[in-house]
Amino acid sequence: MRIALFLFALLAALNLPAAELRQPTPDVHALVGVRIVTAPGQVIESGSVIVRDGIIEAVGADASVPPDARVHEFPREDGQDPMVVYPGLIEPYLPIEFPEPEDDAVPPGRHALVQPDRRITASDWPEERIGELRQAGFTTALMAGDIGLLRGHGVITNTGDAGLGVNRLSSQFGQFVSFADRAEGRSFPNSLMGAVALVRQTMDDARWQAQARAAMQRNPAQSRPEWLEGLDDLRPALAGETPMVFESQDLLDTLRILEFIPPGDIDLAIVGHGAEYQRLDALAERPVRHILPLNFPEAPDIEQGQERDVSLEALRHWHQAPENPARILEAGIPMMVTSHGLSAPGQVYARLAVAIERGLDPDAALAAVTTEPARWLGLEDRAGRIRPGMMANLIVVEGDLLTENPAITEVWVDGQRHVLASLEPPAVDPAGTWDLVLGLGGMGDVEATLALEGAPTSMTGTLSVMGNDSPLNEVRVSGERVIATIDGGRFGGSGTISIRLDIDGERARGSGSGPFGEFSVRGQRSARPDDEEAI
Amino acid sequence: MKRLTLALAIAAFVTLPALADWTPDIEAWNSAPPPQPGAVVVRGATVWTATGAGILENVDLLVRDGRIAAIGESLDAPANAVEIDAAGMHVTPGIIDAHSHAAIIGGVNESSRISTADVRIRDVIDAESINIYRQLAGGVTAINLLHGSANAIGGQMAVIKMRWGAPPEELVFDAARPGIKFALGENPKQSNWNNDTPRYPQTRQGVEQIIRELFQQAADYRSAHENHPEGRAGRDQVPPRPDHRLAAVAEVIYGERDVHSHAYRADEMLALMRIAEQFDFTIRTFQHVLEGYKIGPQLAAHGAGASVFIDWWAFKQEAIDAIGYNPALMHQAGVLTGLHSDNPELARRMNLEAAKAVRYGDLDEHTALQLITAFPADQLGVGARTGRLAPELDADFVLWNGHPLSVYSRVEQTWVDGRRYFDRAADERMRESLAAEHAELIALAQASEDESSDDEQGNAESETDSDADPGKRRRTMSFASHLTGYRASELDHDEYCILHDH
Repeated sequence: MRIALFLFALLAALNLPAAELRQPTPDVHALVGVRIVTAPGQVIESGSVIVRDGIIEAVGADASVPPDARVHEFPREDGQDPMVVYPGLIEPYLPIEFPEPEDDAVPPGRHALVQPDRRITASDWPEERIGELRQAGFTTALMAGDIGLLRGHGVITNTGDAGLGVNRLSSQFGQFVSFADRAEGRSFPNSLMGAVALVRQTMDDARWQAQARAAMQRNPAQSRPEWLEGLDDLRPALAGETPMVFESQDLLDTLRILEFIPPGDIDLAIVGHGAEYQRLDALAERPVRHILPLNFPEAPDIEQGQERDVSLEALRHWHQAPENPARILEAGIPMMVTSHGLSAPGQVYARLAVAIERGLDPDAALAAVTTEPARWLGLEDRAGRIRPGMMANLIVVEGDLLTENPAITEVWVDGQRHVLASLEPPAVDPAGTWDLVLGLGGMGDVEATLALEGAPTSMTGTLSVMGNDSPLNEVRVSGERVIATIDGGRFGGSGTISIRLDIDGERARGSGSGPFGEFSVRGQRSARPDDEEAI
Repeated sequence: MKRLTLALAIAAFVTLPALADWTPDIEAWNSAPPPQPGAVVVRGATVWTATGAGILENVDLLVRDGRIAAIGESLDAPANAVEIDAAGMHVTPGIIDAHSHAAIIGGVNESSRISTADVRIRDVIDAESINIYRQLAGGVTAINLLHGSANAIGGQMAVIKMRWGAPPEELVFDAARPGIKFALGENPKQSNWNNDTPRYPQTRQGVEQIIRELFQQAADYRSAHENHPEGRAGRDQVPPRPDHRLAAVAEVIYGERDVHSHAYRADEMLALMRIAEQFDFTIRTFQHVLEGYKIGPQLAAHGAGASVFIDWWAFKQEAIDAIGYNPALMHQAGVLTGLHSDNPELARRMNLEAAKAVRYGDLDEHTALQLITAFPADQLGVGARTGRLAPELDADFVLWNGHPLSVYSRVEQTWVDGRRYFDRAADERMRESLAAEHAELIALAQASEDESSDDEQGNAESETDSDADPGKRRRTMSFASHLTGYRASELDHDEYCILHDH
């Protein structure tokens, strides 16, 4: 299967007509003997899901398996969790990186931060992030640009592995806006109030352009109005035909956005910030749809005797942030959940589990990543549920999905099955202290210390670079390899820094990559856990 | 190249000192607005009215539904009135600070263009700024949030009342006249900037010229819009394009938006008044006005007010001629004069700035107090609502434990709209409950840390992701960065106004 896929991808890349390579048989699958959560709160205890050509053909306790189907069985032993099929999750906000525009690349009459006409194209396809999303169980996503003030159109896409052309569902959804960006140096705008002013002026310019054009059509015998390129693309959002999606930076920004877009034609949605609970009364007066990040802060570091160094403000937010999703729903504000802001999309489960523990209804939690975004995206009859006629976007998981660390084994996108790479059982115990050299090529070497502790199946660790300690996000041991990730923000970047080390006794050799580029890693173990205790 | 960036990033990460992100215990969002009693009576106080009535000794002040109802001896008060025994205490109007940047977020200056009349402080009021509470503790009840002085025509201002706890839109003082910041002299001409991209103008006469030109453009803009026909004919004719910058400047020359212009030197103030007179409107105030004493009669004849520092001088070339007698001399010349802070810390002790006007220039004490109450209120167009103690006015007042111009006196209570927003005794009680809340949350956090250290799922990421705010991250310079207990935004100031060594 994987080889076939690989060949397919290779040949597709060679631009040969794909049809010649297709199997003549239809792509039919039956997932049998599974528990099926067809939608939030709707469960079939034991049944089958039939998939034909990427579409769910039948689902139910007594759905009959077609003779041409490939049958997928999931034998279970006593005491094992049942295999459960869920609808694939929908990510309602996937900002993707665009290259920063160069100032001199902006033609006259245009502002680099005002790009409402920008569309995500096949060449922008963020293959790696799409892969991460898919592995985390997200099968559909709304992608949008992440820079500028007026950022352009969103694209709704599935998360299959063959690029935008195959996965695209709609390239005209939403207009993305933010007040966060600034021009460089002394260019306009270099303040928040300047950014707001520019967005305000642009929206009025777009309205003017529509009026001016209409007047010109009625009466061509007059001076031609100036043509403002790109602003026609704002029209659908200004008319309420598609949502205007504002990314909010904080609570004051949300209040600013609500005041900036008064009730009226515009169909406003807000990408939230996680502190909405602080002024729910103000937000509930006008319940605007929220896309909510689950960026709950970690518990503050508290040093003995230095408790006052931890601010009450930070403590309050740490304590209350996990209640944010539940309280937003209680206040009557429609809500979806995004994995945006988490270091990996798979973290959404642990965060939802915490939110559920802190009062969020589990069905509402599932709805916030399935039926709610499906409805908002106009995909109610295509995604978010397991129902005949819908896209075969599925998650297969051992046991419940909304737990801290769900055991997802398969993700199906458009009837295409993706088996998640499973880790090999650990073959080495890398616990201890490793003295490493990070090779930065022409820039020379940087020394680092990697401390790993715990059993190989549940390790934690810290990377110290020139005296500064960064906790590892995740450490996995697979066979003889250690795979570790660190939040790039620790080094002033974005995304994740990952390190792969092959362990050979007391020596390690491998490589790393991150937002800053690639580097090599080599070194040896200087202490084992026992030695440390002896010291 | 990428490796170079990585190396630099690591180096930067390692060498930057860890900056304490210490913030105050109280936050606006969880500070419920104090109740507004139906009636409040302050008994037996020395009341500084800031009106012609002067200072009244041993009188009562009666407040009903947020407004002052009466001032007099032995007033009858409803049975349910909140009674305050103010024997030995002084009551003054709430202090009005006509030049502040204390509650602005995301930058005080839009420093890019020579005119940024389209930017609005209203959009960026920082309701969470602890400055609001701290200035209440200094008796301040309303402040004028001004754009900085980086441009000849700066942004639109916002006057707020110190309703600590309210969201931004409820802070806005709706009675205030619309206004806009102008600036003359060294700042708009970029004298002290490290500027790789100089902009026009670079001289004082250039500033005068660009203002005149923008006024003319705005006049043309307004008439183009007014000449656009209404109804069917209007629909068939291409309308003039909206321009928020020119629209705001047009409001200025039509007298609908007041000019509050940063200015130091006499010659440039005279020049701006001449332009205004040509366009037939009045400059509402000059700000700082260090050489105002040289042109008192001219300011008075034009009708311009003056909002000034009393003893900030010689901090740059154009401030070299400042004198402490300036406010008194201008007041005596008939100029509507007030004292301002331009600084969130100074704003907490404006009573002492007023006291200096007694020392320098020998103003009587009551007039000195008017420099921080009635007169700035009049400058902002809110004199019929606040800044004085008289029937019908908003109940914005301060209880002092002694003479308000004494360094030994302090604020006991500050009332805004008949609500007790600051009460020293309540503040002291609150500190205990905050300490208890802190201890409780620390215990919870410690308990959870013990739990999660056994937990294989590390969740050490979101802080940096979620806190990403390009505005905050880009900030490199912090005024008075040695002060603790402030977020960077709370120390926001007009970096072009007084500093010049960067």
